[in-house]
Amino acid sequence: MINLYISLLMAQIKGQMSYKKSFVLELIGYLVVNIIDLFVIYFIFLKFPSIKGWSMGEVYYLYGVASVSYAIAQLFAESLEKVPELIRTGEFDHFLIRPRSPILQIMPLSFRLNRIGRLIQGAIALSLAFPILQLELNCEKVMLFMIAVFSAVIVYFGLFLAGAAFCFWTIQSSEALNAFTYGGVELSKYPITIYRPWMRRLFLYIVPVGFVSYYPAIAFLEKSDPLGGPLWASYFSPVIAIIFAMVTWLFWKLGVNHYQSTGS
Amino acid sequence: MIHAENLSRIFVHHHTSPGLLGSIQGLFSRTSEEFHAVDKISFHIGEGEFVGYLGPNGAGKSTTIKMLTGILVPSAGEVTVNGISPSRDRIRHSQQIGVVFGQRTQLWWDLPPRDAFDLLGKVYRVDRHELKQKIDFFVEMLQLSSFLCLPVRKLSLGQRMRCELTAALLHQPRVLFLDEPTIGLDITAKEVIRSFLKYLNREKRTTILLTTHDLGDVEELCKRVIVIDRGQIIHDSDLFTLRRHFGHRRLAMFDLEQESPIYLPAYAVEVKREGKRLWIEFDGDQLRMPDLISEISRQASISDLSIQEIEIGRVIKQIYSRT
Repeated sequence: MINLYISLLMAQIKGQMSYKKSFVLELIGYLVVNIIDLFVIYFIFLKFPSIKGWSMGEVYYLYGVASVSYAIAQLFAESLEKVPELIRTGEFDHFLIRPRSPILQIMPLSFRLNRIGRLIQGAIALSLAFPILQLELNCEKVMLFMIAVFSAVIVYFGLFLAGAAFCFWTIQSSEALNAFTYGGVELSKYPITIYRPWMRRLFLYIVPVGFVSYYPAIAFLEKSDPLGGPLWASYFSPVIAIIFAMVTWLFWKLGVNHYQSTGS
Repeated sequence: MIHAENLSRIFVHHHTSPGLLGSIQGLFSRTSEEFHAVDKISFHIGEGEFVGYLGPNGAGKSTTIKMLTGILVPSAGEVTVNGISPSRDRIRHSQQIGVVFGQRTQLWWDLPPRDAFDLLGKVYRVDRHELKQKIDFFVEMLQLSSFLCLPVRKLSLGQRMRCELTAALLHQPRVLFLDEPTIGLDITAKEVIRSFLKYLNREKRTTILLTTHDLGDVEELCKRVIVIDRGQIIHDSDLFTLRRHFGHRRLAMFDLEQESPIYLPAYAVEVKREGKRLWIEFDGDQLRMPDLISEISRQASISDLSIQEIEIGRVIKQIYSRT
């Protein structure tokens, strides 16, 4: 499976090379735009020492985890945003007549290496967070960090998949769903306690972007949870993430069966 | 090999009023209309058959092919190919079929065919050694060597179609579905593809289902013809029966000594006249050929005459117009 993904990906990159896009320039542009965010956080905390009990270092940590995981998910799953186009042109047909999962075949379709810009930005945020927080890194911390990133990647992946699945009914890409992907990633950059209760609940329990970023972060940062969430919630996030991704996958399957192709 | 039983596909069209307001309204209430693209069709195709699947545009040809290939899920009825249900067991099914859509490409636009073949080898899990042999075989058979390393976007349609065929056959499928494979091709390119398909069907016993608007394809390749119109099968027979079925109509061409009007007996119609040359279509059941000749020779002296079979195209047109 991974073998095929890499082969298809290499083919895609080879094809893209023939247009000679300036990869480095795009990467720098992308990085600059994203780094402005980090300055914004810095200036906010110059005025207020803490926001609802969260310090600058803690917010940088949250921000870093969200950025790194979204960048990873985007790197692999962004091509799923091409699905509406594939459906409209009928090109999706080709993925159905081959003996492999359509998702696996679509994933390498557009691989934008410049998304690494976001990954770098996330890494910078984390590298700012650690010295400020002066936390001792032990095994448990490393594991909590891995759990946080893993769960968030899986949830974002599920969101990309759900967005693609919607298109089997609507044909057009659904802007409404972007509120969850892009909204979700923006939201999870900051502590979920600052949002209104209905929004909090939505992102904790229905689209668990908040859940998988908030609880592992609390445990990592050794904070007490003002929402009174249980301690095991942080270790439970991968399970929540996988369940969420499974549900979106079933939704996708349903969509494929609903596929209508095009005339002629 | 292919069994279809009461196979149907219904599309539901939603009507939305134009404009932004209309699309917002469409979210809450929609009027919908059902369209039976394929309506309870049944047929069986045996192993090694070469079947032409014909019909006018919008008759349901492509919808049928898409159900047989597992792209579309049938609304009702049963279909199996080699005992496998295309939509329920899609992965296993796609390993045993090859598909060519004449209007689209399954190659990679910016990559040379060579790379595409290697990739497809991986997609279909073809053993490396075997893949190389296969590619060499097709390169030789379809004369691909001169453009094997050019990006697909630079190939001519004929070159590309030969590559599409190769791409569809690398995993040695037992059934090949061809949706208008000769569309837009010149005569030489058509000829290459036709003789290759003949070879494939005869030597490799590949079952082939072909849709086309090119009746040359049908006459040269298909031993059996299924005609579909408005979602229903209106004719299914071998080419010979099809011809005989409508073959009581004959076309005779007369060359006369002089240009003169001819009064024809009943059951004969003058279809064309070019100076001294005259084409007459007649019903062979009602009017015997010798009677027609003696009738005409009474009115004018005949210098030459020939009888032609009615082309399959006219036969199929007649079927279309009868329904």
